Amino acid sequence: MVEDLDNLFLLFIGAVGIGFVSAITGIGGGSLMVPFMVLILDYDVKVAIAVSLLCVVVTSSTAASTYLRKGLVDLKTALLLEPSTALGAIIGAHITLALPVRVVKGALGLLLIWISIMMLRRALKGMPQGRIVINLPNRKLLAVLSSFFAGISSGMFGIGGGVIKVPVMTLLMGLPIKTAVATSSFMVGLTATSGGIVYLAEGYIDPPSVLALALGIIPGATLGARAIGRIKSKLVLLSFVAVLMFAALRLLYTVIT
Amino acid sequence: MKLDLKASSIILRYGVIAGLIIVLIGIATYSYLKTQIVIFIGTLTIALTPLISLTSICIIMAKKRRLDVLLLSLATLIIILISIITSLD
Repeated sequence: MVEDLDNLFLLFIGAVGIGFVSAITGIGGGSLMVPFMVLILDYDVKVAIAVSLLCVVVTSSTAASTYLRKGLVDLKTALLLEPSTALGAIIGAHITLALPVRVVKGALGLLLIWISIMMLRRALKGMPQGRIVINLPNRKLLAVLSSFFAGISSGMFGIGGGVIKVPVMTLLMGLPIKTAVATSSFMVGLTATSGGIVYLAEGYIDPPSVLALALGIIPGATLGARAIGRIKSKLVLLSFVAVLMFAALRLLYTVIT
Repeated sequence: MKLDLKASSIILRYGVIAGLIIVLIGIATYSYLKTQIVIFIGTLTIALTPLISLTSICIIMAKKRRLDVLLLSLATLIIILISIITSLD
């Protein structure tokens, strides 16, 4: 159990910032939480992933609760895609536990580069409006398979996986973006639980760190939600891309040296 | 047909809050009790909240006789539970 109070305080302050950026950019905090914990607070990468997953359960459950009450979650789609996603998360968690730390850091660095490129495209082109459905045979099967890989990335790297799930639901399942975000939020909690329990059973979860992260993200996200409209979200998104790219390169550099 | 999932929504929101409070109590009392069991219960409460919420969805669907969603939610629950149990062995 981490008993360094200074570290926990820094984690709390960092979480406020992560929650703030997440609310403005609409991106889950997992992709920022793990690099922040590993690069700045010197956490073991596997502990950071485990803590991030449990924190993702807290944040996504809070959001999904509102979406469920408002009837925005497409339950049929969520429950069609979730079994393969959860299975992927459990397999992903086992893969990370079996791999050496250097390999996990390297793979995480590559994933962060991919996420930052996706976000850069979004910042430059803007969010797609309306429904764009790709007409392919076996679209549902493809969606189930893609969700499996979303689950693997979630279990392996402590992210929610919404960055894969939302495009899958809009492009392959034909859901409107708002419904896809709400449905993804509901699914993320179940996915993170599936992966998180594996890490919990192996003793990788540090509860004080989960508490510090969760308690920081909630006020940060509230502040971020209030700041929307007053801050240029494109500027925040571009700053997010720069930070994420820097974190990815730094992670890869630590692997090489 | 719009489904009323208020109970599942309440479980999700207050389940994680309860888990965080239990972890906080566990940390505060750790030096007196010399045990991490309270902290573990809090962590487990957080981790299991989405599954409990999914169970409540199954019950709501059974009550409303929505067989399609009930079967899907049961299948999800069973697959997650089997995957977790086998991975813990």
